[in-house]
Amino acid sequence: MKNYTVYETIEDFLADDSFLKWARGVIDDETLEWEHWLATHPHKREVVDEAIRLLNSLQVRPVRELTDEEVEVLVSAARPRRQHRFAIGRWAAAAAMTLLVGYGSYQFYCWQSADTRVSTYQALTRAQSASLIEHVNTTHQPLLVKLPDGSTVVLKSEAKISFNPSFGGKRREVFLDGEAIFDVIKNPARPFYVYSNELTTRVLGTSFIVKTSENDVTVAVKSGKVSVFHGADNTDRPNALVLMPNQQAVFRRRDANLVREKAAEPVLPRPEIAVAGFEFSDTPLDEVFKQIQLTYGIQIVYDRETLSRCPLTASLTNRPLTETLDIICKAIEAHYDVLDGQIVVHGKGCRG
Amino acid sequence: MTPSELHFSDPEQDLWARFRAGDEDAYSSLMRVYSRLLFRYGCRLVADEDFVKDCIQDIFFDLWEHRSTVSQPASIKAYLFKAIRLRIFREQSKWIRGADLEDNFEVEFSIERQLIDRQLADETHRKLEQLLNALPKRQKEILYLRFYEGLSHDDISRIMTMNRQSVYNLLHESILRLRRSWQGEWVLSFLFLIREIFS
Repeated sequence: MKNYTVYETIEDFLADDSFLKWARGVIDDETLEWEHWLATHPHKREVVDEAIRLLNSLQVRPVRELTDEEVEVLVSAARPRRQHRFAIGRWAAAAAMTLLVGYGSYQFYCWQSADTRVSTYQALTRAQSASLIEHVNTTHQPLLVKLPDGSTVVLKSEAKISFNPSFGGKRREVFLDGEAIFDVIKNPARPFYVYSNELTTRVLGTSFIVKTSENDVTVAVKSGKVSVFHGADNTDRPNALVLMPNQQAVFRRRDANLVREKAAEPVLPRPEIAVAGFEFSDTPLDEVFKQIQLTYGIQIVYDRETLSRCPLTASLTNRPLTETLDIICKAIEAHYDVLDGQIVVHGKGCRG
Repeated sequence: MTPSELHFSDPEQDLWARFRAGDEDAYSSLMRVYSRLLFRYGCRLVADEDFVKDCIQDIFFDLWEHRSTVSQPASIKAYLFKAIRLRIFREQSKWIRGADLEDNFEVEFSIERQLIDRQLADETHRKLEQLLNALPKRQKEILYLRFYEGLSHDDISRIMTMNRQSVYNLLHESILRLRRSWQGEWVLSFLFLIREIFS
């Protein structure tokens, strides 16, 4: 038995784990010792009583508890997906997210005219009371668009995006037609919404690809997570699906059916790069830029003669593109601009 | 010995061992057991329910991914509390620059007056609660973990990445402060009683 006789004050007693257990009414070998001890040390009764009263009177105002339904949503979203364990790399650990909205496996015949599909994007943007800015990539090269909050979008050929130039309000909202890679600055206070035809994708911030087209819309998550739902209203998203890495949601436009299934294939354009992540140790800058170009499909313009040998040591996994560029530029005493949908890096080069 | 060959008398330890061995049902059960606790604690670290839910999912997702290398912690609760705390701070630091994230813990303490003394004046009652709620946030977090969540000094020091002695000292200090005003009140209410009896 421990020597409790050295305990003098309330603090002494409250610092003892077995005392706390006993005070809470747990009965086991440990707490029975306390019963016994108190019987043989009646002069300690007063201070012990007071310690128990202090403990019991200390209340914590409770916060809301998760409901059973909410717990089940969490559990089902985190269900293991054995088939695709291999594809989850460091990006998953870092909670980045890659998302692809793309062609379904079946191409339905013309059950819906092309005009109807186009009008979905148009209907969404027309319904906005404010006038929107629209970027359309009419070239064959990816086009980089900077959003007002610092997030970036790389538009693939023929893709278009619209958004309110003020980007104000509680939501950051963009409307997309076509395929794009998003790199969203994290801000849980202002979630980011991508409206693509009838499907809405909600993220708090991270990186993903969206591709809209054809008769069904597929949202596949590479890593991290995302919620998707039918329609634009998310007030109580009864039908929202929360997708975890290597799950995908398939939305069939014909009957507006949204189901979750296993993702078929890794979804990044260059999965091997994404999985490797951006971890650099004394890596020459041209190698760093090559990886960024491969991952985002975006052109980086810089003076090879002065900059290509600059060594870079940095951990850039799971950072937004702009932040990645900021860090690189800071390290090599350079700065960058976005010109004509390309990244242009200026710097004097590095010495030594 | 593989984790599946181990048998733990503690059902939660057993659940954890089975999860490490790849048992999906055990994994889901662990989530059911701990999601509420983690949510309750997480919501005190950051006032954004969706964000906390995201972090809970992340933690369990990572656990499954790394189940072959995760350890068998002495206290699963403390292990997961530390995980959610780290996750929340790490995720937050991505969008709040330079904020003192560590010093952010929202809890409102109250004193259950039935259990103290019906004679305790409103004023005194209010002062005690004020004292509790005016404690530095780290101290409040320690009090919360110790007396509300029932964690040991070792567990708290691991969760909050502080040394054990600092945890002990901070707890001691807050209880002492509380007791001083408390016992002062005892004397007062005693005097009050005497006056009532003899007047």
